[in-house]
Amino acid sequence: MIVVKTSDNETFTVDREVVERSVLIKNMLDDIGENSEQAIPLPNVNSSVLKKVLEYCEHHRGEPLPAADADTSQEDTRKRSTDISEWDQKFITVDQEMLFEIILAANYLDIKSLLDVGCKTVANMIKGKTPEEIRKLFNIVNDFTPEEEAQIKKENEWAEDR
Amino acid sequence: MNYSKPIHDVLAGTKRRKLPLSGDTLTEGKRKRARVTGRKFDLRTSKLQEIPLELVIEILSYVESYELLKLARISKGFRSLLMDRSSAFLWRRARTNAYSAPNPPSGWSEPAHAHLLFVKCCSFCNTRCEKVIWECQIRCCRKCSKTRFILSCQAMSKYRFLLEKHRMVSVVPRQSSTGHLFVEVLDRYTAELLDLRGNSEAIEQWISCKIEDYNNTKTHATVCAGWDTRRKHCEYIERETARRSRIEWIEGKALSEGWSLEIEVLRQKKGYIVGKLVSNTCIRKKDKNSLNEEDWQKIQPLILGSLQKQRMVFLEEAMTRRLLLLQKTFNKFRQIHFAYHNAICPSIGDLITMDGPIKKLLQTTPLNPDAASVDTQFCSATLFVEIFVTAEFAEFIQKWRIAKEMELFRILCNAVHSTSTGSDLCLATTIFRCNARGCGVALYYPEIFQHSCTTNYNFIAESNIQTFGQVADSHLGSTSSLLLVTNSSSSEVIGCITIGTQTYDCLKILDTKAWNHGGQRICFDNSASEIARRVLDNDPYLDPLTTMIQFIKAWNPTFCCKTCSCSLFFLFQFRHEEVEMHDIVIQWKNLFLGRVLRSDDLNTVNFRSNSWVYGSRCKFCHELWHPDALSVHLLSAHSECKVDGNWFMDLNSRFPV
Repeated sequence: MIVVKTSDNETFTVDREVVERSVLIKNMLDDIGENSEQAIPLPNVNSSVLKKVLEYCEHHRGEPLPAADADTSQEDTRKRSTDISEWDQKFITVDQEMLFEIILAANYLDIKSLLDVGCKTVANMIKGKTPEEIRKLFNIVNDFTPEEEAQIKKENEWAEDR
Repeated sequence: MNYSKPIHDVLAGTKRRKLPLSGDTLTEGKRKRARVTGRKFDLRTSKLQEIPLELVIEILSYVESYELLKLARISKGFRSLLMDRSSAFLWRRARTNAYSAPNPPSGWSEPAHAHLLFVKCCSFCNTRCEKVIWECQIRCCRKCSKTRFILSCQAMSKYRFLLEKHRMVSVVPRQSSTGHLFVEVLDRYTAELLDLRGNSEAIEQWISCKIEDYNNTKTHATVCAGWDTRRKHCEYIERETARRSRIEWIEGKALSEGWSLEIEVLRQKKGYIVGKLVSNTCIRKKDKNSLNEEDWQKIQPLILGSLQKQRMVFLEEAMTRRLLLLQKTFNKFRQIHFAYHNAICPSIGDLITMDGPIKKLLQTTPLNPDAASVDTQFCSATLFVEIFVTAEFAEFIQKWRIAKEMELFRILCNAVHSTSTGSDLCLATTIFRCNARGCGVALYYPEIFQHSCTTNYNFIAESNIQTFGQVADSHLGSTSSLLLVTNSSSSEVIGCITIGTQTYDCLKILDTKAWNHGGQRICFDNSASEIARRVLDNDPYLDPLTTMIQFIKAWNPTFCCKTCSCSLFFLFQFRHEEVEMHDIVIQWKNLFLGRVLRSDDLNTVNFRSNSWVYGSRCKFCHELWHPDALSVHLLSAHSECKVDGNWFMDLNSRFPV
């Protein structure tokens, strides 16, 4: 069992197999050795987020991890699907703040599959919406003047070419 | 640059490197940094402000070109990020996501090409326009196409210099459907050509350059058109698949809540569980996202409302099956235990409405909506053993008989005299009348309990019973009304049984009522009672105050058809069993009538105690008349002089001769 310590000083005791879905923790464990009983500090993750992350890791325990040197050239030419499995979708149905916290944590802990789920969710939130709806969804202030807004509708060239 | 820093911190830096597009973007050691130019992308106002730029880019790598176009319009920060040439990799990625949209033609930027491919607006007037003219690389609405395109023959004269002299007609972009040439290109080419006037070598070079351009454009147009067709098809398939899966998801949710039976039937009937569902915004929404709990909360009332409706139909059917089973079994029981002794037995309506073992059983046994299930409590054998042959049921019948006799007695007291006694019910002068539509039969006690009209009720036909009665009363007087409605509808017995939250109108399901319909079926027949009294008064041996109807029945007097007697000039007499076969044509016009009588003016008639005539009912207004009086009534009220057959003879309403 591995002990991890969150930014708010809460400790979690987790199966090694579960926690090793994080490449960051896996590398740390490889570095400190198997017998260390020291808690692994995670200063960028708070307890509520880590709880969610561990829930994800627990559910996906035993699934193969993506290869570190996976061929990226092929993926570039393929459409990136935004399909999310039913469980993952249910798991990621959280408020926006938590969603971004999970994405940040997944990025920090280097859990690629969770990061993908988070990014796909945000991408799906954007899809099918008008600019105004996107603004409203992410609380983005429209800093264009009405004239600018009318102008940008016509302008579709690179900024450097205008 | 550290891409893991929040975006505003990153944007404060000066040097940016390009990020790779792959999913491997963020793995240690493999990370290639994307160059995102030195421009400052200010996304501080957005919810995404705490997210490092690399994550914003990771998110954007999942969207399509159209979304990037929209994102480039939401704020200055996003616009500066996306409209920077260094972000071209994001647009390329987005094109790949958009069913591998074709590369932009030479001289086109990624955003401008994405705009042509995805923004359905006319390139000239910005109104909505689906039609893309790939060869001209524009979208053009019908209105604009009138000015932006020109007929080939017109162009030949207007652009003679360009098209004829230099034979450029085949390299000018045109509308593929009409062949009209694109004016903008014609003007541009003419201007360019005029600039080169006199330099034949440059002109030749220019022409070959334009031919090459045209060929490239044409090739690109073919690719774009092919992609567009493929995209539309794929989108349609994906949309339909998404819709189907949403409907399946909804059905799955409904199934998990126990609506399997209803779903199965609705699927068989209509192919879907709710008609409105297919057009619901949750289902039809264009994105391919699955539904979530929030969507379910929105759509749930619609789904469950429809399923609830279907369940109510099932439960209603289950109740109908149950009641029919009960009716069948009860009829069987009645035949066995009551028919031979001519005993009085409550009707099925009484069993349902009056507190007793059947009502209790109906109220306490839950219904199973499944038509294939067996209603064990209402099986013939169970009902016989557990209900009908029990002492409790015998007690119930006894209670019912007492209650109904009391009801009849109250009718008698109200009509005749409050000092009447229970034995007066059996007098020959105590005659009741059935008020059921088209009946009006005079009835004695206790046969009144066996008269079928007192319990049968046609809910549809009799819905206007009150109105009919009122019309008759106002027109002809209350005593002559066929439907003498004596009690208000407030006293009507309601046969509703509530099981769970649902209430069933059991009487309506069986088309029946409790005996006397809460006091609306039976009334005291004053007229018949009066006639009977006179008949008995005229008879030297009979006393109207003491003669029982059983005695009259035992005496069995001869019947005489007054109508026939009048026409044939002798008494046409026959026994009761011959009455039904008595059928004649009555020629009222040719019939000599010594006297004309109304049923309420019988004082002038000399009665014979052992002779009766049947009352005749007017086929137009259904009023009951003495046969002698009917002819005048028909002539005066309906201008009718010929009446065929004994259909008009009311064999149940006896008038003394």
